[in-house]
Amino acid sequence: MTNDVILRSRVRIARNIKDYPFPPVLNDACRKEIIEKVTTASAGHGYINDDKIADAVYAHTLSEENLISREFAAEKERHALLKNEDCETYIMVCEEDHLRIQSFSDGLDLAKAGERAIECEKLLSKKINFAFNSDLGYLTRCPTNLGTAMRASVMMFLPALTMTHRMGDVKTQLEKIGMTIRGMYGEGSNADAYMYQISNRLSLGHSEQDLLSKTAAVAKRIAEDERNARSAAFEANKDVLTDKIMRSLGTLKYAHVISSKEFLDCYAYVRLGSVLKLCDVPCEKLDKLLYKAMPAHIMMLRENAENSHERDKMRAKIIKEYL
Amino acid sequence: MLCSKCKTNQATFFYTQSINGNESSVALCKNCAETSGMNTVSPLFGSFFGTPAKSTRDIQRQSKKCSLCALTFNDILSMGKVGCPECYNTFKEELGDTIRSIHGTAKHVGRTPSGTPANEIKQLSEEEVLRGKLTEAIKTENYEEAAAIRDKIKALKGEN
Repeated sequence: MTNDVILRSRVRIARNIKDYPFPPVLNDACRKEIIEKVTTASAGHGYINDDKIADAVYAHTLSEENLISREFAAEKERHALLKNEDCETYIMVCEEDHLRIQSFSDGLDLAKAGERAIECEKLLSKKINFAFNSDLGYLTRCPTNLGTAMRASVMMFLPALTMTHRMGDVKTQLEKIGMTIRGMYGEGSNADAYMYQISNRLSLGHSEQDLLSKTAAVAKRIAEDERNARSAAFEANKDVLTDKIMRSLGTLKYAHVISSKEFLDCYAYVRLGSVLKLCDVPCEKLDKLLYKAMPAHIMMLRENAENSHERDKMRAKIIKEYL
Repeated sequence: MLCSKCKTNQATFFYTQSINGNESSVALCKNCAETSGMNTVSPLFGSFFGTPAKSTRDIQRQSKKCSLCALTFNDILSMGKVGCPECYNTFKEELGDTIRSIHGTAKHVGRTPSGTPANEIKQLSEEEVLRGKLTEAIKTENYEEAAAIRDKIKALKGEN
């Protein structure tokens, strides 16, 4: 079982089309041309253009599920989102780069996510001439993404390493080997609910295969450290931790009003309780709830949920019904 | 995208402002950003691209414009990011050290576009790949790994 620590694997590949400026130095006519090129190149291969992306609330639900970036959800200029029928691969068109292909797989399976993302890129490259330089690789708006322009990342649940103040060491070690650690929603986000994204920081001078296997190996190692830290923390603070977990479960089950911060705090303890077999709510169920209780998801269900108090009430109701 | 203030020049400075909780995106050209009292120097550039031009020679060099997006190197400094794929060619000299300092190498390894003639792609030798990794290991003070890589290079060259 890897989902006790690793929730999901994601591989993102950035591509830009030759002879076009990068967004945001890109006028509307060029944006339109690029969207048409990508739509044409992917036509007939199971990709659909998700028109609902123009709805800001819908876009933010996808961002809350980490399927698209927060920046893309907030994009004001013309942009498009294509996704395959299985919703495993997404193509953000006109994000920071012209294309950002993202593929996902459950648990730790970067090989599968990488294969899907590369397949999608291969398909598009048959019809689109991507900007490439033999020395620098695929050319991207930010120099940090040059080379393969690939980010292999793993979403990890690390409560024990965080509680025992070891995340600073983890971060230092990762930096030394060309990797990085970020919060739940990527760059600049907080590690809410003890969720972290671990990914490669460098992409030039390393093959796609190297990046995928190195990230997977590092994620496995951190997962082992987390499991050991959980056992030690539980042995040392059994009563305190059990009390915290059961109180959190009680809050989720019986609260009448709950903010997203309080929800995330409780979710994290109950998830820890689930993997420590202290409560019988499966991780998979909790992880679905993680998205259902987020603000944009609630706003999609009810229009007047723009008011934060109403949203907090509705969140409590959703959680109660779901658990 | 044109500057939202003068509506004439190309916008190179982008930010989001929040007034009474209402967020809006603003795009300004360099001149308007400066007259608005905005600091056009992104925190990124300090770490990536060095410091802005000071000498006459630097200023002359940085008046050079990219043929595709028309940005100067100073515009790139302001944004912390390049404007188009052609910028990497136009500002090859200016960006070279920055790229090497970020990645520890300036040699791509990995996939290439389908249809690219093989003779246009510089395939790295095993030794070049190892040398890139050695530079990175030294830079990150991972001396144990650096020693192991150095031994591999020696073995590859038939040295003991």
